[in-house]
Amino acid sequence: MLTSTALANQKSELLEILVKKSVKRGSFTLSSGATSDLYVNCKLTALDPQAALLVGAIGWELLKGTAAEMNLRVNAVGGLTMGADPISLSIGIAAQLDQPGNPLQTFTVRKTAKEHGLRKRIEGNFVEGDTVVVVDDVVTTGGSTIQAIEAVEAEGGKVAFVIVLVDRQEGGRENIERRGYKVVPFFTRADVLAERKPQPAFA
Amino acid sequence: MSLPNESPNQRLRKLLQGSLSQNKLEELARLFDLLAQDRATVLPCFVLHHVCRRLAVALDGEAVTPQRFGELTEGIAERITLILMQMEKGRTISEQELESLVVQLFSNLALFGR
Repeated sequence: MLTSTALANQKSELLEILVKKSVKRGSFTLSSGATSDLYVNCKLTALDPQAALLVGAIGWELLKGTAAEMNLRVNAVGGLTMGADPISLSIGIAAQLDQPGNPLQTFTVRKTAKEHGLRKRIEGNFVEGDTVVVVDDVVTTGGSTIQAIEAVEAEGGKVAFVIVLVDRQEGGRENIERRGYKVVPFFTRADVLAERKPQPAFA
Repeated sequence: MSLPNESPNQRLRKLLQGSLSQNKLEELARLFDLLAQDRATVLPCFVLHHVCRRLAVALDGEAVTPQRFGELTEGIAERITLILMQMEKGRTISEQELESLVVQLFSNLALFGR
């Protein structure tokens, strides 16, 4: 278990990398069609080996702490490909490093069902009846997170709660929480903007 | 996430209203894929599926400015809507109509002339 100071230091280090690699200011059309002055591409951070270690360590602490608060035992962690994939695996690896033999598994959710075979949407280490944590890289409207939740439930899983790397504070968290799932963000839009140093706008 | 009593065509029409987005395009691609497997108009639905899919992939993970977004999606929803209306009336979709849509897509993606 990390001390609160160590966790705060790791979060600060990760936020610095996130802002440097993944955040752009300007005017952007998001995947939802909405326009925003902030673009966040978390893949650049989650797929950075140094940042991935931090994502894993922090994510594992958030998962452990939240599961303990809610008195839940979590079997697996995963979310909608591809944004969630490196985050889930980093958390799974951190769990193994912290507690060798820990049974926490990871999985991924396809955006659409496989066209042949069993047409299943979940790939990897998930079985019917599992209690899972759904992860996502960025939450804007909550659409991709809700897709993953629906896929898990359609295949017989139970969603314990949701962990996201960045909550853009544009209503997505509320949309997910209205459905009864707690959302635990690493960072919010406010954190990102507070960290970001003034620089010319991205054209 | 369609309403239980909503037909695929109603859902498609709703998605085609207003400007397109990556999320809408992914859902359109999924619905056209289902329709391609389910009715007589296999080829038009198969083409429409791929047009939506291709555009959704182009938008995925990109920092797209509103101007670039407008260029990428220009004319696509209108052309798909026209084809969908023809299909609803039971009319055969010509090769030229489908080609015109694909040409528009390739122009938007700036794939011509490379």
